[in-house]
Amino acid sequence: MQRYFAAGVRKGNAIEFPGGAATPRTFAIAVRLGAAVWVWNTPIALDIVRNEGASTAVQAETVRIFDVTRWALWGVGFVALIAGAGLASRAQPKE
Amino acid sequence: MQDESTNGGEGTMPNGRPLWMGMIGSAQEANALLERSLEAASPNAIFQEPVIMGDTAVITCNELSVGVGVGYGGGSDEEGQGGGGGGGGGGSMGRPVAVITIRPDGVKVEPIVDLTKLGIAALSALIALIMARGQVKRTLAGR
Repeated sequence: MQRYFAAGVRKGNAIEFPGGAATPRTFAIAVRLGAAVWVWNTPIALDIVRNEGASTAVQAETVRIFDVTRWALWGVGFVALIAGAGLASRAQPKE
Repeated sequence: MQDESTNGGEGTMPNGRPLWMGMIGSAQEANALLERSLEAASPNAIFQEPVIMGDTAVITCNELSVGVGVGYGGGSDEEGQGGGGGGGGGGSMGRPVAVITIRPDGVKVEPIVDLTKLGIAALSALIALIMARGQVKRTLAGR
């Protein structure tokens, strides 16, 4: 049975645009177990290199990508978990 | 509109194979399909090609998850007649995460918030908590 597992930050090929280029970084998990494959890939940052107008100076910056929806979902789940634990403790018989 | 010439006719794929074995014809093809699925882990599958408008470049980035599974097997009976078959399934999900706008005066990252998904999750959690609270109250009243 063929097995493969990889997880970590990966750097992609540069995406070119007028006046510069951007290199994407993502976090990916790839699993192959026999005849089944599962892949999860999410963006984390973009390294941007730009030429400053007519001058030859090069400006480099990294923009982080924050997944608001994912973290908000984790927040909702965490609050629900705490509230559920509180209810469960109330239902316990008191000694 | 579906083109009959590209469809290959009823019950067949464009390559002439019967429709039921058109997707995966052999274990090698299944293996190639699985290898291709692993390409979804590439960063370039996440970041789209930039859309250029004047001196502004807009790049969208998505989250991607892919799952594929296939199974196949064969055998022969006592008379030596062989047979085999297989099946498979899979799915993929993509979700936009952010839009990156690159202008000469700076870079702006605008996150994309899926309010529908958040609303459904919050509502489900709230309903579950209300139901659990009612159950706890009934349990405490019964003691």
